[in-house]
Amino acid sequence: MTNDQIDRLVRGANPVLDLDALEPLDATVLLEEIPGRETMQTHERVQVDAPVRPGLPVRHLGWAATVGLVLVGLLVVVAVRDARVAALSNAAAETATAFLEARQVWDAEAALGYLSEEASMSIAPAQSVEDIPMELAMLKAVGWVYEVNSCSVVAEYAIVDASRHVLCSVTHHNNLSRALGVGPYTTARFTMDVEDGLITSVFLSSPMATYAEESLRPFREWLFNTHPEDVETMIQPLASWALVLTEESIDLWRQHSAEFATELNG
Amino acid sequence: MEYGPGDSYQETFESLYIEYRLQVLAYCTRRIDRSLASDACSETFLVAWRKVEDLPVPPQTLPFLYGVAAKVIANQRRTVRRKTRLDHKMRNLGVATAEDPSVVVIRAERDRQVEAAVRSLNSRDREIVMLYAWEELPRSAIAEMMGMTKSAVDQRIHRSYKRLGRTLGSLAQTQIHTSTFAEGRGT
Repeated sequence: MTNDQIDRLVRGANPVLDLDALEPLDATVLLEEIPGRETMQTHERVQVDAPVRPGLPVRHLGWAATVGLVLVGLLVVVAVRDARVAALSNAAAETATAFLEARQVWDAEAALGYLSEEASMSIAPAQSVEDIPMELAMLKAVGWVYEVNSCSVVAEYAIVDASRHVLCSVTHHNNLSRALGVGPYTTARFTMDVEDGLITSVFLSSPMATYAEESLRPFREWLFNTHPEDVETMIQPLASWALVLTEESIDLWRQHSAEFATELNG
Repeated sequence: MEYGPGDSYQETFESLYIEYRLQVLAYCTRRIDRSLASDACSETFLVAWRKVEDLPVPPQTLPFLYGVAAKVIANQRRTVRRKTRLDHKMRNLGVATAEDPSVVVIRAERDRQVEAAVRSLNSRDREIVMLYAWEELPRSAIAEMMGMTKSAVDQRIHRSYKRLGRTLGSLAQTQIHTSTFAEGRGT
């Protein structure tokens, strides 16, 4: 469904479409409910000239009551703050999980919905929010899936409005590893900062040594032998595992990873 | 509309009430049971009565009243939750409670599903979607009312619509499966 279709559905489901069908009270009826409206003051009067006779025991009781009230107030404030802090942390973990779940099905539009416009990105090969659609297109081309294992807030700040630092562990595999019967790989971690319901930074820590040795090296050797002219378009020369993020590269990865898998399993 | 210094307190209030009562009542009706919405609307204007000289000028007046109504509804919900617990105890004692007439209102199935999907959003996203699609407030007014940037409101609406698309898509799937299952069972 497109956004326009959803918008039409939501607007059509408005439980009160026709305001004229509503029957509010008449203003005079409502005004009758207001006590003392004829002598309405904008601000309540404060009696300042009443005699005050604080006897000593009463004054002590007053102090005790005040201290007690302050303590109770503090306890209430701390309890409310802790509840809000916990709720914000849960919401942050949910946002991070939802972002990764959108990536898991290569849904760029949904994934972008969880990111702030200026979010800093470090998910090789994506280095900015603008790279996300192409990065996910590449992952889709290679059948690269990052499954979410768990997300949790790393640092629990006692500040209600501070951003939350969320760590998510993921398991990943792709057409190459599946064709070769290796993996899945469980060492990758996403760390994200979530603020006001939006992700402000994403960092992917993904040790590639095992993946490069088990999955990418056999594919690269096959690629050098079968399509040497495409290697430079698909893989960055200075990092043997880094993919080149262009439309042409994505098309070649889609074709050649499928061809590689067919040859191995065929 | 402007509320001039020459108007009496009561006249100013009456003007305010006549201009905004339908929108505020609709706001309340979209969020709580119809039988409670009228009370919530009245309570909102009773609060406005005490602050009529401090009310923001249009176009901020309506979002301000919505903000007051939101607090009134939150209080009502707490009261209803207490009453629900009491009703539950009364049922266990064999004491019947009044049937809510709004329950019998027939709504198109699709609209009910969409409305249910909107209500299943988290509270902040739900309020933003309702203010945008049902109250038809501009996004900048929603941003001011919710204390966030317009960009954050844009993102939340976008994200909520994506979620709604997924939810409504799975509902459609469920319906297909259910009808297939029912047809299969009948043969």
